[in-house]
Amino acid sequence: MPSKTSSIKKQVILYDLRQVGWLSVLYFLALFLIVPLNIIIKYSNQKTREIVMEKGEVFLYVPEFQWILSITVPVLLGVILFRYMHKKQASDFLHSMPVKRKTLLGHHTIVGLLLLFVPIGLNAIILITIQAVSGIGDYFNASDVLSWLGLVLFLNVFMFVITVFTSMITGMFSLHLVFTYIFSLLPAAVMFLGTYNLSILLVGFPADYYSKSMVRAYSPITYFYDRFLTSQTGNTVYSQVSWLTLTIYAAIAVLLYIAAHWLYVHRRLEETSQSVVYPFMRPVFRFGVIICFMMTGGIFFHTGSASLGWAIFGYIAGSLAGFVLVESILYKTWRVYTNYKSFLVVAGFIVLAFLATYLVKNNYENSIPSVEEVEKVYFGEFYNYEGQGVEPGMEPLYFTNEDDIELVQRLQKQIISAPQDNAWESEESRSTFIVYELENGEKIARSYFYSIEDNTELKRLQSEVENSLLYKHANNAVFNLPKEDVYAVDVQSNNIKQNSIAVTDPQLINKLHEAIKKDIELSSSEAPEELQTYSLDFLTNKDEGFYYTSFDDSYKNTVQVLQEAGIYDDIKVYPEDISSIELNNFDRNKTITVKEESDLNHILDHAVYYSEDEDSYFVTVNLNRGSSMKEELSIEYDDLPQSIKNQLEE
Amino acid sequence: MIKAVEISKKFERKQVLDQVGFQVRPGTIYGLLGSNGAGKTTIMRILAGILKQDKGCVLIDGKAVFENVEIKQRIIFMPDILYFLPQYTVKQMGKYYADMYTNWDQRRYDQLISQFQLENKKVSSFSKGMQRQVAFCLALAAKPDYLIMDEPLDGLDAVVRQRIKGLIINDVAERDMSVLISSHNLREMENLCDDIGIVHKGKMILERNLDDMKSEVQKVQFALRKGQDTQFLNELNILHQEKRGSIHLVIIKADRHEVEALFAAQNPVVLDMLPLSLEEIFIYEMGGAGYAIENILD
Repeated sequence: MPSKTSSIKKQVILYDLRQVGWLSVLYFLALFLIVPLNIIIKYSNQKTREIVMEKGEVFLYVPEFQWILSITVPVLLGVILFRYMHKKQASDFLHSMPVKRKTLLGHHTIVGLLLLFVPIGLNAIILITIQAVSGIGDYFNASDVLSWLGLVLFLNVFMFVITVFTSMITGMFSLHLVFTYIFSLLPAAVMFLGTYNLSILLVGFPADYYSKSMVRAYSPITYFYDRFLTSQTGNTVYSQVSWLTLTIYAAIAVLLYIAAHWLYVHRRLEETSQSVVYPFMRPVFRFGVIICFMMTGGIFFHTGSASLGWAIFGYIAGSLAGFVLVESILYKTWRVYTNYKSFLVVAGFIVLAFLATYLVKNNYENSIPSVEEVEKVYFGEFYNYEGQGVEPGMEPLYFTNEDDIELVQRLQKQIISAPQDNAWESEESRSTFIVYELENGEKIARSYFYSIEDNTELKRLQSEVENSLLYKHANNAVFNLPKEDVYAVDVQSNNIKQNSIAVTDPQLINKLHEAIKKDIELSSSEAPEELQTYSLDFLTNKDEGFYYTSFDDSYKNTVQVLQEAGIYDDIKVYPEDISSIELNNFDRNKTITVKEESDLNHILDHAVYYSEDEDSYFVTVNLNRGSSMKEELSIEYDDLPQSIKNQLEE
Repeated sequence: MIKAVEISKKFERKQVLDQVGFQVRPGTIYGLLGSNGAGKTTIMRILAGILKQDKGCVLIDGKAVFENVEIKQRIIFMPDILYFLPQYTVKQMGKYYADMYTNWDQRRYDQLISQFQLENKKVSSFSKGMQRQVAFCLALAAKPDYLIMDEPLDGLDAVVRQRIKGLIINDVAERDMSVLISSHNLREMENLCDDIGIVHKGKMILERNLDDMKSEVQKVQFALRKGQDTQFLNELNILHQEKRGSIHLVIIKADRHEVEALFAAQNPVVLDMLPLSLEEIFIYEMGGAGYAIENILD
């Protein structure tokens, strides 16, 4: 006689396995193809083994697919397992059976987890086995496999738990899938939308400062994308798995499961086939959708126009679209206007939120800490929350000196008082990111995008900051290069000559390094765009590769060192190097060949890389020796020598 | 014993049930009558432990049903639109029920299946009528103490209907099974139910024991001799009266023996005690109470 009190329902498990077992089998096969088999294939070929395989990397193998599988398979699994909740007949059938809801939930959860654990676990076992019995073991060891297993399982289980949770919220099969992804992206999306919109409304609000540092961690989908797709051994902030974040995720998963349990027990089954099952959630859902659509509308129209007027239009249009959508989902009808009152309630909230923003606007925009409070201030084009400078390997720029801080503040005040909306059209626009770190540990961050054209005071302050030694040191790679690792310098000519000379003599390298540093310190930040621009690439053995810097003839010290070493003539274009210059008009129906030395000089001095002016001429430079520049330069009619103009008139 | 006490239920803002109460005694069949949308299905889903009432209580043997596995073990609910696990065969469904219901009788299931001549195929491939038979086999093999069926006889041919009725009555008699059955067809309930409850717009408007009802109301056809008048009828509670030529037809609410004795005393030319259909009883009795019963039942 079977046990009367057995709470394990074999048949429920069997049914679930019949429903979703195939998915697990496919999952195993897919993972097997892209990880173990892929590794074996790559390893079996000497070439791919050396080029593609890296030590300690299990994520290296088609990580996009590993990630896509990890965010789709558990969701599909959950959607199918809990499909019975979203169909009236199936729901009535199963809930009339002598089984408690919590038993059902437990059974489905265990089956779901099992069907995720088995395919992933089997692949891990295969990986460990092949690394133990073959030479592949040189590339990764058991602990690499275990950390792979851990991370993949973690994401899979988390996505599954979200799916279980959302299955309780909705009564509709189709919405279950949609809700699951919306729910997993929601915190990140709200954070992104919120910060971006504040940056529209508040001048200086640094959306990136908040979004870049946090948004990606706010959704398992983006957070694990970074962990899957970046090198595990690279040790960057993206690849490192933060135990704190994982713990928070684990805690969220536990809470979601408890919530799912509670919701299931309290689920009113007559609401099956309703889009949102629990009446108390409907206003929240409505509010959320309208707000998100409103913010999206604002961003959409603002990015297109950069004007506040259009942004406000976007807010109104977006919130109305959100209202129509949410009401038609909730009540499954397009006749939504009858429920306009609920829209008015949300609209009221929105207006209050805008009023609140408006009240703090002045205060927020003009709050600059006093110099005494500031410990140091970060100044840069953008802010890298990983604590690095603008380029890899470079240090971020901090001003600690009171005078410098004061200078930054004067610049900031000037930026605030300048008009904000002309930056996109301007030819001289700047992005500036300022982060004050106060004595009390607080941080105040602001970011601006503005034009310095036609604003002398702003221009003066900007160049004062940019010409400071600290600024130059922080923003030029040569000041930060690991000198002992430099094994060569590649001296490159401009694009006309297309020549490069490798310098390997350590003494010369050292001289060049010192000279270019001196020249940068002496140069003004507003170097005009020169055609005769050369570059130095400092090549190192380090991961970061090379450190690049460009210079022109005004860099006297560098030019001198190059002249002494006999390299300068190889990179400089002299008129005698040129056999001829061809000028073509914009419609290419008129060609003039220039050979006169004074004309050649004149054209070289005035040509630019590209001009949109229809009056301009295309310039093709033909050299006596060596390859000439493939692409053409341009010169504007006004800049042509008089003799050429005369020729053109004929 | 199933006891529903003042159960109320709202769907969204619509009051679907309003203080409905009734009892199903052990070993009896209770017919729940009402038009579509009256609330019958909701009552049954509450009794089966699928839905939870907002107010009132549902007790089976003194215990609440909702989420009570022990009680639900003894209940089978057969919905109006049948559901079988997708792709499941007749045998697999049996195994599923066997795992769920501890009283499951495999031998009886096999017997019933062969009695209805059902092949072991996927249930979804069967016709509607055959699927209904599978559902009955499953229900009866689980040997429930309480069988709740929502419009179960719809779409069955007369032979199968009769066979199923027989099986149900058999179980009621043998095992003291209680049955709650809903229908919008009074005639169908007539020879099956012990008690009848009529639900209209979420309210229980009438509840009766059929035997009592039948013995309470009499239909008499009689013709009197010339010169005799119908004065004697005035003493009786007449529900309906009509006259075709010399033949009188009266429907009287009174005990049969009393009526027989009274009429015999008049020594009429013709005297017939006619059988009354359930429908007639309801129409005549309720008509007086102001309910247009024809509109409720179709």
